[in-house]
Amino acid sequence: MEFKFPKIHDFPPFYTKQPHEGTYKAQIEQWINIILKYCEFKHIWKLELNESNGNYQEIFNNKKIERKINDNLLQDIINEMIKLEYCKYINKGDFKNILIYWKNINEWSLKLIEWINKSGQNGSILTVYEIQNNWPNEEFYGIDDEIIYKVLEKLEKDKKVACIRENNEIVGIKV
Amino acid sequence: MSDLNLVTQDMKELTEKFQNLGSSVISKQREELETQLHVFQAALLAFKNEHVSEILQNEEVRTQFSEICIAFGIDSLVVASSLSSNTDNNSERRSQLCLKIIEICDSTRNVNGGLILLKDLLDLINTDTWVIQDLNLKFTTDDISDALNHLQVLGNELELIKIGKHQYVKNIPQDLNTDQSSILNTADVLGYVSISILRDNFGWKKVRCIVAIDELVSNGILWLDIREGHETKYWITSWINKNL
Repeated sequence: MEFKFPKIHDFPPFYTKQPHEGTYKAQIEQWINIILKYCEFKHIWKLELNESNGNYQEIFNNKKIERKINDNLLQDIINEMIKLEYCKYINKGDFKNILIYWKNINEWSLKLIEWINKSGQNGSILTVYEIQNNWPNEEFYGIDDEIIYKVLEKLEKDKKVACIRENNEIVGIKV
Repeated sequence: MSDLNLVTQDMKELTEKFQNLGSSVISKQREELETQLHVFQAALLAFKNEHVSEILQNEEVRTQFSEICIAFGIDSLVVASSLSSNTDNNSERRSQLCLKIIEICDSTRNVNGGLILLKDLLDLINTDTWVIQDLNLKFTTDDISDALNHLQVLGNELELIKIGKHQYVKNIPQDLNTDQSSILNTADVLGYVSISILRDNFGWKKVRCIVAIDELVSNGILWLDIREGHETKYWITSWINKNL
């Protein structure tokens, strides 16, 4: 199934940085929404911001209207996403590879707790590996190490779960 | 070793079973609640049809009835609208429509700079599920212009204007001057304008084109479109919902 982009994706000036402040804010919001929805739809955790990358091509280079996103605009979008905890650079200093969370850490923690309650896991012990690999129909299937660690740390801080650690690394949780 | 494997296998199956059970209980509960909600909503509608005159005449009953409807997730605009559709008492419906218009203008202003295509506005109002189900509740251009007339007492901030072939609702205090209107008229047809288009078709000097366009861009009404190797274009946002 193809991802269906919203109509604004075919609006030529959407690819140019808008001078009006309010417009620009709205523009960035729309872009973030598209990137997150696209990655979620395609189940992409790692996005390469490189023109030769197929996903980059599809999101940021619209052949139908012959527009490609302005580099400064893209940079601003990524910065805003990092600020809102929707993504981060995979390696420090490498601005081409980002880890996309789809949802921010807070939204993920709510999701995971909801699933724990729903599936009757209260009181049980789950390993990180299980969470990542055992439930192919759940949204968090294949969730990246870094994201799941952050989510679990947050849940521990909120006293929703207790983390089990080995050599300072979270390996499981008790709910 | 194989025993342990068997145990983990059993555990896994058991957890899975519990999970499925949990999911099905939740979704069943959810379905039941949704059905109940629909039953209540239908009951409210039936009650309304039966007691419409009393509800309309008695202010107190009407207020309470509206409150109940809204508590059950029916949009207040829809409540007001369905309560007044058969009578000439349209003021509540109109007031609610005014509120809705202001709400939509407000939430879309960052994208369109305060100039929304009437058709887009109507589409946004008529997306409410109740409105879709009951065609009598559907709002029309006349309803909007009636509501806007009503809002005139608050000043000229909301105004129905014609640009090119289409009607727009302008929801910013500034008026459009003649040059700006000419630009928007052209943009309504082509989707965009450029300096050379304005020079060639209106015979304007370059400076005049730049001043007029700049003002529209800095108000957020036109969107800037820079493309390497091409002349810069300025787009009108009503084009977003056009099917190219």
